[in-house]
Amino acid sequence: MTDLSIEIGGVKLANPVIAASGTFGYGREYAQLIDVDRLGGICTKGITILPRDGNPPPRLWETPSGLLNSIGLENPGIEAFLRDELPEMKKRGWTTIINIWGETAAEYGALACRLAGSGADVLEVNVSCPNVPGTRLGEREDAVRDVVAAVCDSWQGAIWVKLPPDAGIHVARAAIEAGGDAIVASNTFRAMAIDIARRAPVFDRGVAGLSGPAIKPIALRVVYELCQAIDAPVIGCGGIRTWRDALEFALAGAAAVEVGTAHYVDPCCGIAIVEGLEAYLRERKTSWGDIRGEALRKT
Amino acid sequence: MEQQILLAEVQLTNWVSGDAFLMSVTWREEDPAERSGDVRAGQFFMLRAWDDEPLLSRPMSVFDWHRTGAAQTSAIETEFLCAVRGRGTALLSRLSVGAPIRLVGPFGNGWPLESMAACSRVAVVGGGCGVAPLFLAAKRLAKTGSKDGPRIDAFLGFRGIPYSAVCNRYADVVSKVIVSSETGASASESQRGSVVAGRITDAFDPHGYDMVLACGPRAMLIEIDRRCRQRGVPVLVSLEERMACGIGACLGCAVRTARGVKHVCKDGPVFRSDEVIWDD
Repeated sequence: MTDLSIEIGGVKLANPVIAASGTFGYGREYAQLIDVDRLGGICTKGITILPRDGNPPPRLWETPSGLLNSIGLENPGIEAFLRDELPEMKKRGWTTIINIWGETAAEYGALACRLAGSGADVLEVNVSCPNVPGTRLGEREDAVRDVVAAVCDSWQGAIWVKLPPDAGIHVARAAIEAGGDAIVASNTFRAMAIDIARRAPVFDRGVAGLSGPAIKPIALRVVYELCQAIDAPVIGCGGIRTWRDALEFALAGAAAVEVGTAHYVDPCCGIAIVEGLEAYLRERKTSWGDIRGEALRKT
Repeated sequence: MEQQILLAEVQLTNWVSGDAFLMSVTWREEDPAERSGDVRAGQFFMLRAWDDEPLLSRPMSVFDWHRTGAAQTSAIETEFLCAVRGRGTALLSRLSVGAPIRLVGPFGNGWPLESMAACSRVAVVGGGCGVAPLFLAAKRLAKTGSKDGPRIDAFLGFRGIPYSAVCNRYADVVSKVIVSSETGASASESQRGSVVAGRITDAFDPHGYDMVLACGPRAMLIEIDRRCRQRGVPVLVSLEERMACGIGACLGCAVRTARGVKHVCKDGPVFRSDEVIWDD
């Protein structure tokens, strides 16, 4: 069997295929249908200090090859998560990546503090949710620096910073300089739909987040440009649904990939990507590490 | 029945109106030891019979469910009642006999039929495609209630021409079927019984029922809820929302209830009507 294991920020993953935040619940939702153990890691729904109800319906809108969502970070809050979800995830032996969201750097710090010693493997610092009110932290270098520094103060483990697609190189650099181990590029793209019958935006908040195959070429470009500019690992996310897509991200320099919307389309998608990558690398007698960034070097 | 990914094939597509069809799909359970039990009435599957587009699978509640064949190889036939609303349902409507179709599920809680065994009269009230998730409930309740169980009445409302083939299926299993058409359209000649003009909510009087099960447009459900509340008759509703996963992961299908935000796919689709917050 081809060894697909990787290490990012001191955390070893069995393979580079991770279930993306907000699309895989807490893993148990899919456990009856598929062998979740086969995935490299499970990233949770965004967790906040207090429980959040999320946005009013409608929350979803299908577009050509894409999906608009405006969930609004519905989650049970950190205390219920630590009590009801994390122990189960740990018991199953999954590599757990906890996506956290706060309104201020202090809130991120508090979440990191609460998660310290919890057994979680990675904190994915979400500064890029398009579906909640407030300033768009992830587009501001100083704000990202403060948030990551606040997380670093209380959390000794690995930190991934999930950026919005239009954050830019300077924000990614700031995230790494402040103590981030890796960049996740990226969250959904700010986008919208208008209901022509009502002549009004589909979503209450107007703007929502676009995911799915429609964004893959743009997400790939974001990863490609980041990998050209920074040395830290970049985890690719956006529209990945086949092993070929995952391979493209690896060739563009991604250290790992997150699979999101594709799991709605096919619950077996992530596992199929792992198997496809294994077969490809075995046939070509190469490894994930060797092909990683190859297209970058040919630019 | 445990959640699973099933590869089935289309057995029959039967149009019941200009834009709605009953689609029957079957699959085999090769290993009798791994027989997975039956679906609960009111549960749904995510249906997919295409590769890339549209992106999402389509949630469809089970209309009817049969297990056929001997012990060695049993086959399951399940029927879905769908209306053509967009690309997904149009593709489903055009599947030919033998076409492969993927089902993921069953999902959702379904109707709590066991709790209705002691009822003496139950009404099922469906509007348009909302008549779909009520049929299996009516059939199973009527069966268990051959002597002491509930008497079931079905109120089936349509905007235009009634789905006569569906109404006749109801007539086979329940005590009484009342069919309405908002446009006053008459049913096809094959339909047993008459059609009243107007809304089904006008033809429905909750008096005398111990329990009402309803599914249909939101305005219809609100009206049923209002009338039943006046009479103190409990109502269960099956709700519909856009959903991506069916499994409780995407959190897209949120509904506000007295017990907080719930999800149609996982906590529903069946909810107590008095717990749903209707005014949003």
